[in-house]
Amino acid sequence: MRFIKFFLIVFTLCFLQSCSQTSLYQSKHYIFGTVLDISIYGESDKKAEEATQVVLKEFTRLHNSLHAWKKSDLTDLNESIAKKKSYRNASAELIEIIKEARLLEDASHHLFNPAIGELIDYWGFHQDEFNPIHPDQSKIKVLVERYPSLDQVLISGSTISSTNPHVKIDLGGYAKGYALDRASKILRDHHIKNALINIGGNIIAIGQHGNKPWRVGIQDPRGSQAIAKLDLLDGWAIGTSGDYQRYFMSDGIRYCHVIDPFTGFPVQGVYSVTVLIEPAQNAGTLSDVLSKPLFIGKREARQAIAEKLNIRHYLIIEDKAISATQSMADRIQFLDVHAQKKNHLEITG
Amino acid sequence: MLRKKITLKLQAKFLIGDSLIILISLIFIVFAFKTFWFFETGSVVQVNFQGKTYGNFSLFQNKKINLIGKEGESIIEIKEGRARFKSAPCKNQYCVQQGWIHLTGQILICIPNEVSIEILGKSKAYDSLNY
Repeated sequence: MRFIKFFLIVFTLCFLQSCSQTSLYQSKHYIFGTVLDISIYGESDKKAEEATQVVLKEFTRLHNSLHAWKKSDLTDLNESIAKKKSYRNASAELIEIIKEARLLEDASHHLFNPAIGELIDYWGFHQDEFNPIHPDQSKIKVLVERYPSLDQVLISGSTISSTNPHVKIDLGGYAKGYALDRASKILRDHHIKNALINIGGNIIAIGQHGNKPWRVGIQDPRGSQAIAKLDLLDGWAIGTSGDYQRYFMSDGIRYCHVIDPFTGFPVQGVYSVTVLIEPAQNAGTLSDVLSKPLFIGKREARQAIAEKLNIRHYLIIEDKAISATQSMADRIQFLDVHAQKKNHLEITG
Repeated sequence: MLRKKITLKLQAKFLIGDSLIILISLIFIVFAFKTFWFFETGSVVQVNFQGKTYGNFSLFQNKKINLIGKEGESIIEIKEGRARFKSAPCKNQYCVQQGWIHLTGQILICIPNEVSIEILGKSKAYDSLNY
């Protein structure tokens, strides 16, 4: 009998062990006009759920403070700027974000320009669901020649004003990444050691998935599956700008949501730009912002842009061409062999 | 007489060797369960509705799932090992345009109506998708 008892105990332990192996908590929420996916490994569901709820609360707060077209602190600020008034009692966070975004705008030679809200609005992307428009060249020219830039934004204490009333701040290429950094900090503060956070496609990794690193897929811009995969190590972040995320078709032409501040038109011909960011306090933010200058900049200027902004790992998918830096090519693994053969992978930088 | 006694003894006594055999067999059974008992790759579609798992459905059936969300009705169709959004109430129709999915890890998301469908399988190629 002793032996039988012993077997039962061993047997139960085996099964318990197999249960604990799959302690992966996953949640999906629709927030921020996008999808938030959190995977937490190796924690009790209760602890994971608690931390996730705190993240959700934080996102609601950010939504109310940074939204580009639904009433938020940011829309209030834009309204003040348009009326040539000073915006008082701005939060320290909003000021910090504007300062940081301004540094990135300058470093990218204004290719990343969060002040072109008027243009984005003109193209109709300031709506959850937008209608195709027929672009009017002269109207666009007028909007471009107002030359809005965060450089024209003046900050004094907690008061914000602008010398150019046509500055309309849109943090569309910044806020998701910032939210990623916030979420990452919250989970780490909750002593969660292994998690993967995905906000509308931008991903940051904490720790790893059991004894393997977190693995992420990179969307095929013209398919419904991943084109490649890579291991996302602790603290690393990845972000993609694509012409397939928010776009409309008009007269057979694809107009995507990434607008070149110099021409006023959506970028054409580039399918997607993926940047991989090394661990840093603002890795999430950088994963959102840094894909834009490469997406918008001219083909021949890419290397200089990457060097200036210290982007070491990037992948660009275009019509009939896939290019990547050597360090990026070493990290990714193409899933579809045909895609790899058909498209010559060009190594840049 | 003596011989009979020994036989009886052998039948009754549970030796360490026996226990080892049983132990090894049990470990093998557990191992076999864990290794071989899983869904065939890409055989199940998980429907997520308003942040919660609505259900897991086999891809090997013909089925339509109607979900009434904030925007209206989304219809998911399962047919011949594949799944798709047959119709959606939103304006942009990205989820419908993406067509059928059948590979493990493929996912279609309808943000306005808060519905997503994802193909599940044991050998998931990745944990999350960068898009």
